[in-house]
Amino acid sequence: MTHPVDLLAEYAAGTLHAAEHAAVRAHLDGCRECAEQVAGWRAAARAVSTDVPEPPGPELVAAVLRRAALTPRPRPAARSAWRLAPLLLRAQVRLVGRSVWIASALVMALGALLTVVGANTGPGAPWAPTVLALVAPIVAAGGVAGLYSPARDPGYELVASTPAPRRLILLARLTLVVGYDVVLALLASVALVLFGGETGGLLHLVGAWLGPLALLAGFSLVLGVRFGPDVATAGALVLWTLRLLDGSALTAGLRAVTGPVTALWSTQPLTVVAAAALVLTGLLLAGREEPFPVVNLLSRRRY
Amino acid sequence: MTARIETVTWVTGGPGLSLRGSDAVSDEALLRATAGGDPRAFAELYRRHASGLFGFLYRIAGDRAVAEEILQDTMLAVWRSGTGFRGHSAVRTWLYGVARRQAHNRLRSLVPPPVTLADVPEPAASGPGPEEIALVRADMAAVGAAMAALPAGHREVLALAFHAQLSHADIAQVLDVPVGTVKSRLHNARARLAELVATDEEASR
Repeated sequence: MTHPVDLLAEYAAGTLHAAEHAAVRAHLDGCRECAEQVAGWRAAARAVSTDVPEPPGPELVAAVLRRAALTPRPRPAARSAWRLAPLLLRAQVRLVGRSVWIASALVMALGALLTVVGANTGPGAPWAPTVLALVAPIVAAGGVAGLYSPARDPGYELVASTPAPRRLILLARLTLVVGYDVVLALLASVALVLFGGETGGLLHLVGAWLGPLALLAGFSLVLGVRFGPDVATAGALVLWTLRLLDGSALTAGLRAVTGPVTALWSTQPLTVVAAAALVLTGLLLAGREEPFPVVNLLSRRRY
Repeated sequence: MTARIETVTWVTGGPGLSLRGSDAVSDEALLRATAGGDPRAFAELYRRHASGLFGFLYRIAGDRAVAEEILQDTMLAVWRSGTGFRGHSAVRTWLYGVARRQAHNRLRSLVPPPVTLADVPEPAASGPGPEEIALVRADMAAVGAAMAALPAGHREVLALAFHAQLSHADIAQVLDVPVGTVKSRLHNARARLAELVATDEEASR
């Protein structure tokens, strides 16, 4: 055995698996150098546990339960909603995670680039609305998918034990991410109208992606809250693929499925209503996991 | 230890987990029951981890009362956010992550040590220097004083490794750094501790 330098600290701490522990022990019998290392780690271990007082007994549990019962998520009483909102939004920017912001912008930029390239080399048909109607929704759905995931939220327990209800936090994040994506798509649209030779007009172009973006984001939100980010991403991709393949020979047999998806893939009253219903469902579901009676969002204005 | 469980049975109401022979119940089951609002499971979860968590918090807070407060914050967060645990790590590791965040929340000054060139894992040790020998031979009072003088980031990693007895992989999860960084931080912490003990001895000579 070469010197197991890497294992000596864990050996001294007693956290090695039995087999590794036995191997290191056997090595130590013949190796003074490693034995001295272990002695050093043991000294550090003694130092760590020296003069540590006894932990509080079960009275701490009672105190915690009392605190939980007496202060059912203390509310931000001192601050008005208007002053709290910007603070909440700013805090969420950091918690949503840098990767979401960067990836969204990159994909959207790629979509715009593709449009410009396609307009110059492609079929010449209204190409920009088609591309943006595909790119913008999937960017939003991807960003929304992970918004309500304890596993991906670095501050989850802090959120759970602080005054703001989880639904409010989710709503704040949703506003941020979807708002950001809408701004990105708007910028892309303006750029395409100004420089990309898009002739259909800005409103027509925005109409092509706004409805689908809201719909797919709402869909992703519901799946994300209920089943987690992976299912949400996958579900959004399935819908997206159905839309993408509609009309191609590949999905000729699936017309019954792809048809309605395509029909909804625009900005119209039905799409808006469906998107709103999905977002509402997502927010309602988000409160259900709480071990405490949920503060109803609508009744919050009483405080 | 069993007496402790009995003293908290007053908080129980209605059916819950049977904790008879409670070591047979896994931490995961206890946390699930806790998330469902079972105070007995919560008390048992606390009993199992009180000593480790408290030692860890005492080491980074450096003060008994503050450590107790953070431990309360931690358990309150566990009671309220038990549903947030999704099984990507052991419950124990998760608990230390919660405790650490609560500690950082309260002790805003607590910053992790900057990653420097010295954080690169050390090559095979070149044998203990005179300082290391001083550490091995030092008496507890001297070691305790040196411990208190150690930077917070070093105390933190030492406490996780030797008091809480987490594996290096688990510590990496708690601190959210690569395993290599855990190992080098531990080496640096021990070296610094040995240095402090040695200078202390020199001064008192």
